Amino acid sequence: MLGVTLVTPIILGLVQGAGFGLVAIGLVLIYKSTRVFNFAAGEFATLGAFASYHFSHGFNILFISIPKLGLWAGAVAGIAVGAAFGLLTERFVVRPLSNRPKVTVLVATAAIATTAIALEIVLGATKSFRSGALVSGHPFVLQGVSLLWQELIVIFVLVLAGVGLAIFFGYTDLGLATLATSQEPTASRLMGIRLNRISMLTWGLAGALGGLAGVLLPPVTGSFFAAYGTTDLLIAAFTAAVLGGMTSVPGAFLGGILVGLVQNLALSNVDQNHFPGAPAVAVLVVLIGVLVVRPTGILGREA
Amino acid sequence: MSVLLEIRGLEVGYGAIPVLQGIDFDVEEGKTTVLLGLNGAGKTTTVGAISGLLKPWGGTISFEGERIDGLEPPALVDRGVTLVPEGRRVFPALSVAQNLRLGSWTKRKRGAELKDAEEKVYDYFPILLERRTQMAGTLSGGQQQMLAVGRGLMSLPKLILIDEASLGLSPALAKTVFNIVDRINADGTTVIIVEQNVGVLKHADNALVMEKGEIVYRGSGEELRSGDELRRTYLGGGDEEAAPAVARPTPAPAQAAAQASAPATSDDEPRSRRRSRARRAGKPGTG
Ligand SMILES: Nc1ncnc2c1ncn2[C@@H]1O[C@H](COP(=O)(O)OP(=O)(O)OP(=O)(O)O)[C@@H](O)[C@H]1O
Ligand SMILES: [Mg+2]
Repeated sequence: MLGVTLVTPIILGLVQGAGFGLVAIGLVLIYKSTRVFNFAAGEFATLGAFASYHFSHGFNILFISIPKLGLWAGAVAGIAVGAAFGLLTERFVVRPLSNRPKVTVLVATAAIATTAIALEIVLGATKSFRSGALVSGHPFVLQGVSLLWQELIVIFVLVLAGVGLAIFFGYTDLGLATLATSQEPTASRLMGIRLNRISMLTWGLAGALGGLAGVLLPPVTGSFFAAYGTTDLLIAAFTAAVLGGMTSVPGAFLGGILVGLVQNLALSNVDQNHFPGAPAVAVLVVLIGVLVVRPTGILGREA
Repeated sequence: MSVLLEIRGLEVGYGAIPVLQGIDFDVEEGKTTVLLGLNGAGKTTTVGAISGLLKPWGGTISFEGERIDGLEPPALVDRGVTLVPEGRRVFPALSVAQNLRLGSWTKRKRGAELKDAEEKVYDYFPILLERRTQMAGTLSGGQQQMLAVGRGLMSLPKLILIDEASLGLSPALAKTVFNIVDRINADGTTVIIVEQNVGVLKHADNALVMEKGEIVYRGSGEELRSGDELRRTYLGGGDEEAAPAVARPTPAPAQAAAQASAPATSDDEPRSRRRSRARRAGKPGTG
């Protein structure tokens, strides 16, 4: 009995938390470099999900017709579309506004989210879509709960992204330059670092991470729909990023997992008839608790 | 000696406000040139234009005989023109070693030369070697200044421009930094050093004095140093090495934007100045 209500939500929590973590890392990258919270982050994921769905199943929209390309090609397309959307956002919205107050950029990212949602409604009406798992089947069963390959892939990808970014920031010149740009833009310019390129890199990377979440998560959690990323991922990812200290990549990673676990444990252990919205409340309680004890987040420093 | 940097009719301003209205000067290769002047004289604006932070409105800047005005910092640093900015501007949450590493960004593929440069920097500033894993933001002001100069040297410059290295440092520490500037110069790098501290004159081959966006005196460092009269005229006196030419009420905080750090009212110094002595720079038509 106890085993089931713990193991299932823990697995689901890890998987969902990994998805939140991917989006949260994207939020942190952008916050570190532009000091702006990116409201469009959720829609990077939704566009990724739509692109991956349509490219794998083939589509015929407006004048473009694409044959069925299969799940893997669809996944690549989803990530690419996420990255492309991040780059477009940087080039046509963030860069032109770079001398404006931060709040202007913040509102602009919200406008991008609504624009993306409109685009998604054009692409998919208001239907829900079920996307297929990249690898189907169960590799093994844990305490009576069978684990899906797709679930393992999501967790593995988050770990990979986290380790990859840690290496990028800690050990490469480009990663170092990215950190430098967020700390001292003028000095970075004087070193010969091209701020525009770093900004493109950051937004492209955040877009790709969002696209990745959009590709990987819906097969596990059920379905996606227009505005899916904003309604189902953004708040959780934001909480994860704040839990991690807003500027820490490993913090966002851990924050994502924590939010996923808390949500799912509350969901399966609290009677929703007596206490609807328990998962959201539980996440809020954890958020407040962590911030009271550690106001700078779990890790509490830039990394 | 050949001219490394040639400035003619340089005009620079902010928004619609002109600051430099056509200045001319030459910097000789292998020499140390000091740029003196009171607050708001236009020193930072001058080095900002040379290093590509500010776009010139008019006039020309030539380096090694080629026009460099209007180039962006990446191209300038690559050619060998590096500015150590006012207010240090180290990367606070990166280590000393990482700060130095980023100094060589445009030349990061030149392994062997960088190794030599790094050794030299640690030789000039042994404290940086000791602190190489420490976050730059936790260094003392003087150590941050050394790091800023060291980081500039890591770009393998032919011409290094140092904006107010002595600001906020004790006289003894300022002297140490100036002595190292001498060594940097002796090792083959041409130096432009912006200062308010007249103690720097001992370390300068040539001196320029700016006032209200113009060059009002040019001569040898020695001439300006030994001529009490001259010094009083242009710099308002002050004890050599010990005191800044003009007492600054508050040193600019390290993180304040360079553009924002120039007090606006500093021009109306009450000291009587015999302007008639000023050998004002000729102002040819600008191109
Ligand atoms: N960003 C800016 N916007 C408008 N005016 C500026 C800006 N930066 C400097 N100025 C003005 O340009 C003039 C020259 O400033 P600059 O910083 O070049 O002087 P400085 O000689 O370096 O002075 P200090 O010794 O105080 O550093 C000043 O009158 C200043 O008010
Ligand atoms: Mg200045």
